[in-house]
Amino acid sequence: MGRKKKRPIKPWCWYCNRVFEDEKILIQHQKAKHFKCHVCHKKLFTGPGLAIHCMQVHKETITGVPNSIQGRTDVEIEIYGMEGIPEKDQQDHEKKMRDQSGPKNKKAKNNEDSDDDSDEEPNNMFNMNQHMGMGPMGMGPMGMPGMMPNMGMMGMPMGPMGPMGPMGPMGGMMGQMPPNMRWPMPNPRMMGPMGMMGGPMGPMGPGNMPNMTSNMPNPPGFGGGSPSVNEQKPDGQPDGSTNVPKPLFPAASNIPQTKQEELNSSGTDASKTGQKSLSATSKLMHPGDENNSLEEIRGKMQKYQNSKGPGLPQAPPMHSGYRGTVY
Amino acid sequence: MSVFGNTSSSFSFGASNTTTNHNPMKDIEVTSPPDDSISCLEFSPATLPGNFLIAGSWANDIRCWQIEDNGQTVPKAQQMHQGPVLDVSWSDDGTKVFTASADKTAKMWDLAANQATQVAQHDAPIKTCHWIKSPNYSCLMTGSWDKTVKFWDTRSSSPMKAITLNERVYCADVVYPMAMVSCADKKLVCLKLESEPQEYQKFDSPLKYQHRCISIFKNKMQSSPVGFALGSIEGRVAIHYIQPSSPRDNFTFKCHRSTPTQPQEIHVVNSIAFHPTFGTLATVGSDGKYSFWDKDARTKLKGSEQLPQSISACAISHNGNIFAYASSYDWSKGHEHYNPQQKNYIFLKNCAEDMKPRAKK
Repeated sequence: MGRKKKRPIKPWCWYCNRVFEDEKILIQHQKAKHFKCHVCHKKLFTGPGLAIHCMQVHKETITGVPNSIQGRTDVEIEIYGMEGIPEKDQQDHEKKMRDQSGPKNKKAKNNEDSDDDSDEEPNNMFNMNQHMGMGPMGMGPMGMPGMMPNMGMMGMPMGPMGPMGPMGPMGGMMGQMPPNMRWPMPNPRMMGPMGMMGGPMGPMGPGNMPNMTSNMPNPPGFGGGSPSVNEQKPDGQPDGSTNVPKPLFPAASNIPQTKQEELNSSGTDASKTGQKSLSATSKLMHPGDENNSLEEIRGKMQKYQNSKGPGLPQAPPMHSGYRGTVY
Repeated sequence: MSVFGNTSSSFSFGASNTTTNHNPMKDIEVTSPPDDSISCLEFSPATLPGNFLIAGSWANDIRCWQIEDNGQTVPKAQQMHQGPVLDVSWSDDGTKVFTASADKTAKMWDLAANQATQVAQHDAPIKTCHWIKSPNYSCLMTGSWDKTVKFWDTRSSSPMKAITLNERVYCADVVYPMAMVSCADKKLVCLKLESEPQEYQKFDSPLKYQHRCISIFKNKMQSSPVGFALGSIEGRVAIHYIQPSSPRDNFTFKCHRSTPTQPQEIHVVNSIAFHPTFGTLATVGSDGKYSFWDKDARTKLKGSEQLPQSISACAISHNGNIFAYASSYDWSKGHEHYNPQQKNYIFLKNCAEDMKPRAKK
């Protein structure tokens, strides 16, 4: 038993409590899930990096790290892989992992792996849909029902962590900067935008508090999909399932991106894979005649029908500005 | 780079335009654009000195401009069909332009003589035309809504070959020795063109919605065609290799969708054009935007501001310096939103920098 206790703890993501086999994969995960700019999909290296990027490049204020669980949305905490995790959270996590009995632990992990890997895979910036033969339907909505119950469980262990999360970081926000910052940004520059961040963050804090105390279940109406649900996820992948259990920080809903994702996650997953049910969340800008192309629809118009009249002169009426020959 | 890349000249040219919001990217405006929507754009091949641009329109005409290096556009000539023009194609030597029309004919336009003669006939509007130049034969490939693809030697009134398909042809592309034809039933046919056009492979679509545009791309050395990009009406493009080294080489990506509003608007992908040297691609959509992508790095290189009208067509010059795009209504919102008074524009922009793949970090 004692030997087992010494087993090093697996890398885990502070933002969503997911456990990984390898820190490299964790870093990939963080870049793809938590540090990706919702506007240009650039993958940044840290939460503050993302905030600075959004502020400087897109003039947008990010109020929370995307896809993070309640209490872990702080954009000012610099976390890169396992570096920079507040000591208290690290201890809590280790304790929790040890408390969980072996098989249980394994089970939970498997669930996470099975649901999440698929959308972690593409090492790219925009939505890659690996279609192998079957096309994007591969893992259609069918996966959903089966996944859901497990997902619910997944969310559970996060609950107790929720309210604790913010305490550490909020106390010493600046103090939390890890000494060896991997984010290659000079400090002065960093401070600038952070100062600006202070503005929006301030008032938001209290707003969050009630939710954190009442916490646990997702606030109604916040499906908590990842911002990438709509733009990033390949159809048919059970992305919705991975997102359902992760409660979104209410404040994050102030980001337009997350608004959209609420909409999406409130729709059924079928709306993303299905042919027609784009309506609730998105609108296909097409006349809706699935059996005809735009040209066919347009060609039916009287105006273009008439022009086919056989009596029209073949000779080209020269346009005023045109010369006779090309060369 | 020097071609058209002179910022000072293009700037002064841009300044001569009244800067209204029809040109949010402040690109060069082609003079005397067609009076109705522009359905297709094609640049002249490398065999011609300089650059010529051909546009076909719903006003039944095909127009030709000379694009000078300083960005000036000179209207050269035009020809008419008896119905809307749906596609154009240059001959390999640049002396002729082939035009496909809803009047069920395709014509060959001899530019030097400014004479157009009919070279193809279908039972329904011709949606696509492509010139095929093989060492031992040359012909015009036409794809029609009569569910056939036909090959014409331009001298005979009957085709040298015809392939019957299950559905109407919606889009096609040819990069010798490969041709791709995509149909209304979302089936794709790959043709091999050596010795004669032959069906090589049939695919089911990687996309779930109606196909709209297809463009063949070459391998990294730009020596031979290896795959295609297929655009659908549901703001999505599939990158598909004919013989992928791994199934993961094939993927789709979303594009031409509005930023989160309620509801999100998903637009039609109207055209795809590959850069001749970089292998990057441009897409244009009914959202009135164009985007440049790097399919190998799987990144978006650049997006445009939104134009007030759809972008209905695009093309890239043979030297890869000029990106042309047409701002005109593409019928994506139906006839109710058609305004014949709305002016149509063709814009030119230097894309040599914007389409360059980013250096790896």
